[in-house]
Amino acid sequence: MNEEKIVIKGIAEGLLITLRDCPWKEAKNLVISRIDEKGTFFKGARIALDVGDVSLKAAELGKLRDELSEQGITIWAVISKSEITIKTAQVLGLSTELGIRKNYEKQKQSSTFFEGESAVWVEKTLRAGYKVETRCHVVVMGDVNPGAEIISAGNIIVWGRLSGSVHAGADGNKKARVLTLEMDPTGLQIAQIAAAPRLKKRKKQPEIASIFENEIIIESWDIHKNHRGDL
Amino acid sequence: MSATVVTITSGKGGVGKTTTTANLAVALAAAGDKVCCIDGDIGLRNLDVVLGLENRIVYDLVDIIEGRCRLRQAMIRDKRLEELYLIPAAQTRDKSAVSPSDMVKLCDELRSEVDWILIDSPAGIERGFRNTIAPADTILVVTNPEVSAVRDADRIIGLVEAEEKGPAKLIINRVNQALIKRGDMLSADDVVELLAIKLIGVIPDDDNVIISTNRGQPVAFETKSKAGQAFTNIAMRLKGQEVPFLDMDVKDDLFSRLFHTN
Repeated sequence: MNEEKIVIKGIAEGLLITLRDCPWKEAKNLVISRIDEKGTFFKGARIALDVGDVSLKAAELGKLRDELSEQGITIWAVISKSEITIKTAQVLGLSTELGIRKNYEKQKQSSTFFEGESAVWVEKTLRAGYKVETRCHVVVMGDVNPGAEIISAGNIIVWGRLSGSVHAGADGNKKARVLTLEMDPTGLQIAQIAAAPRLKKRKKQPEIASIFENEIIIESWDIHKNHRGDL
Repeated sequence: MSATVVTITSGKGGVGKTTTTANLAVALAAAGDKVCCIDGDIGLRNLDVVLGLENRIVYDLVDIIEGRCRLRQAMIRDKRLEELYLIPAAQTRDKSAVSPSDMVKLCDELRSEVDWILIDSPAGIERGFRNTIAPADTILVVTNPEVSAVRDADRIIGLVEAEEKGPAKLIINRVNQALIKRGDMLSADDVVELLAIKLIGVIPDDDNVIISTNRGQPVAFETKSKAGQAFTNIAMRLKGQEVPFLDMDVKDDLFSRLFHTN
């Protein structure tokens, strides 16, 4: 019966452990006992955890991470349908989706992408080491500090100072844009195109980055001007 | 008594965690509180050296955890200050000898005996860091006014938030007013603007710190030195007192006057 509740399989990025319909306490013990059974098989493994609908707080997830790390196992991603769990994973600097970037070539640019859109709302400053990786748009109320990273298949809006690294349209959408109150990123990429480092001293003003003729251009935001381009 | 557990951490190495721990311990003990420091840097211990207690070590942290001695036996009492104790780190083991729950248990046992438990964290964000964060009530992040140290401090502050131990408080160490004036060093304001957490102390760059560290006699013993005064002020702020920040201006300092005449 345990076999149904916990499934472990190999994927491109390491191991994926899927937990089904199972309260967290039981699930956690299952994971640990499974790993104990296999002895050193898991040592050094990178694990992605699919917890389904279960809502997890930072303390719970952090505890499992600590216990596993004592056995030399790293959790790098947590996949869940629960928004609470997704937030928790982001707070702990874990990825919440598997391999967004890989689908570059496969996915055709679709003009209908922006229909039915949803966004990840982050109301805090993203500090060094934080990583937000999602298919949704990303809105940050706060700064993105150097060493923090956002990868989004959609647009990225930073209502604050952007000094970290961002990648908009990460699955190939060249219409994606990056908007921020203060543009000073360590890295800026839209679709497959990376921005050249800016040599000029930056101005502290709202700016918008987008692709124009296969190059990233950064313009200051002018409320009287139509920045919507050809959309 | 129920102690407050204060963990001193930084991320980057060499920014002055151990010096800060030693000096805060001395300043708190000099103010009459009972203080126990724990060296959390297992395998690379040096808090004992900075406090000048290295030749009195018999038992260490790992001995307590593994049951080879009682808590009391590993607490080295300082001879200069009655109420200052140190639990040294093991030199011959590594971080995996201790787990976060061991540290929580140890601190809970110690809480009833002292007013303050100061834990010196190792550099890095791995096991050793998590060991020292687990029992903490308050976390002090030490940084230098350098871009690399500030970046690591930012990461640590994020990790502290994620462990729900935040908000951490900030100590900026080795601030050189002359360099800031020339525009060659980040000012305390620049650092605070980026890190956006509460500042609890600014320590001026002071040669006395190096001299006293080598002698095992922390600067907080002498109130004459500016750095010693700065550490004492942090201790007072930890105790809940409002102390104005030191005037960092070095204009009237003999050394800078000599420099300017050159």
